Amino acid sequence: MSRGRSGKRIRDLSKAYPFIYLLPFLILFSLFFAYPMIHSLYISFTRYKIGEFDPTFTLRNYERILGDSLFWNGFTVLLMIGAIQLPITVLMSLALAAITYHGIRGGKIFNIGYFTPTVSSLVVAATIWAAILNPAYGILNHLLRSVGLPPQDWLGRLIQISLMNVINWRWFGWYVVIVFAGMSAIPIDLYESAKIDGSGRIKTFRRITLPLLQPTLMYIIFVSIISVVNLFAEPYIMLGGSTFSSQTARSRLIYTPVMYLYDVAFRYFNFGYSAALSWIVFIIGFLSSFLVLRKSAFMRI
Amino acid sequence: MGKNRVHKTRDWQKIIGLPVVFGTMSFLLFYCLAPYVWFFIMTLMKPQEMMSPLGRFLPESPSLENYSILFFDSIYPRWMLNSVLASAGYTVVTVLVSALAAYAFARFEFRGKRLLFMVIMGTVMVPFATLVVPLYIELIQYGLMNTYAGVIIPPTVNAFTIYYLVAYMSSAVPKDLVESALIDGSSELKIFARIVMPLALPGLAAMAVTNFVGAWNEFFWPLIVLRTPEMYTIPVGLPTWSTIPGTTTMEVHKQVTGAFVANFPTVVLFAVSLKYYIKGITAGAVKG
Repeated sequence: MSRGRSGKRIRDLSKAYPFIYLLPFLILFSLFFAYPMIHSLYISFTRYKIGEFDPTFTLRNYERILGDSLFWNGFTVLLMIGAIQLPITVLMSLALAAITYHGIRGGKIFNIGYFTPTVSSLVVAATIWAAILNPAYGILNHLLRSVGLPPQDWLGRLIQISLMNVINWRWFGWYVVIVFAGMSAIPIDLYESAKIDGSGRIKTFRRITLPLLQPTLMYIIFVSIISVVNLFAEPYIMLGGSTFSSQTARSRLIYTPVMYLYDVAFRYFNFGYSAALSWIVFIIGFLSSFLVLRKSAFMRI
Repeated sequence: MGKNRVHKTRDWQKIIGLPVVFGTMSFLLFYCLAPYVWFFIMTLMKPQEMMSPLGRFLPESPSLENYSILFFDSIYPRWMLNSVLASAGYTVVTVLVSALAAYAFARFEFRGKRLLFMVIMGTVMVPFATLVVPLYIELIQYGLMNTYAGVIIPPTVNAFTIYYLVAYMSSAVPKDLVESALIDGSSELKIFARIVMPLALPGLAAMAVTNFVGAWNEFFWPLIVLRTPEMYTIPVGLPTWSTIPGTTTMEVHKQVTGAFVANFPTVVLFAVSLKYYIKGITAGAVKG
């Protein structure tokens, strides 16, 4: 692209320009991402409680995690949600997107309805459901009683089911919209040639829709894994706006690792241990989502 | 949404039958919307009715008293103001900083471009919880605890927004146009402000709406930064109106009404900008 002298000048300047544009972001990135991340790794290998800091390298925090039943209990909570709620939500959204995409009258209105809960905050979603499910005054038990069924302890013994319901309620409409967008991006020609070849609907869905939808599905699975790993607000609200009641049997049922490391850092002020916990959470999230992320469209420039 | 429908014939009816499909879909619609209806009815009840031991479907005499308590006799308006300021501030900083960075990726070739992009996208894998303790210490050092800046700035490192804007700018801002503006002697800054930003406006709007809704709903980080009730945002404040029996039980009417009202800004925003919002959230899922 040589355009004489002025063209050359422009090209030389343009070597500096990308970094000028990147500068504000890079400042924020260093101060509020890169530095805290390294710092977090560092203090996880030290003894660091409030007012008491010993920088000697130690593996104490990580050793303690191995035998920490509260943490592993939280981990099994995540596994259960990942094994039950995640597949239900993904399959539900796949089915609904397919049905609305392949021409049900008013499908779009349905999708908007499904989507509504996703604009509510997690706190509001959990507050609404906690009121509905409240064993004393909640409408659901009232409804059950009025049709002659026994009321259930939704926020006690069944609190895991209630939690998964809140997550599903808040998110599945979002998945439907994304899968729908993914389906809309599949070239129509492919369907037409499949039609000419005489392949049936289900075969077409399996042979064309599903493979081409793979990046989209991988993306939503990735996002759900990340949000399950970070689970905090919904169980926090369902326990009545507190993480601290963690010792009761009911709250242990939904006491997530992030709730635990929040308590360790901001109730017991054991920063070193909290940082170590957070790195284990990160590694678990990383291992479980990396393969999925690589198959999605994300991360490619 | 759905301009290119393929099978106009009602295939699913043939497979499982219309009543089943329609019934299931209507039930799910009820599942999504009924909680709001019930919540609205609850806001019209007296506090004692809300908590009546066996529950009840309708208030004896509906009244808007809870709303007048919420708006004129509680700290809620202050929380609302805090939420608006924090969300708006977050949106402006994030979209602006991300737009600048995205433009660098969309227009220029430079050393380490692919690596830097990978690193930025990789940040989505790191749970915010991993950064929380050092950020908390940093905020104390900078004197930003319990401030708007403290809530707003740390989460502005936002890979999704950059990802979306890179893709958007690559397709919406023709390189030729930028080149010819350069030859006409326009300065870089002028090109960015006068050519790039206007052309990328729909993409920026999509990101503004998405980020505003996200910030409005944010809970974990504000919960750590905000220490006094006058600084709380709505999501941080609501749970302090406890529903645990034996504590400050009588504040349930405020919590319920406040939670219901908190939906309005995002629902209105969602309704007036449905197209942008959908574009924003499908970013990353569908290439381009």
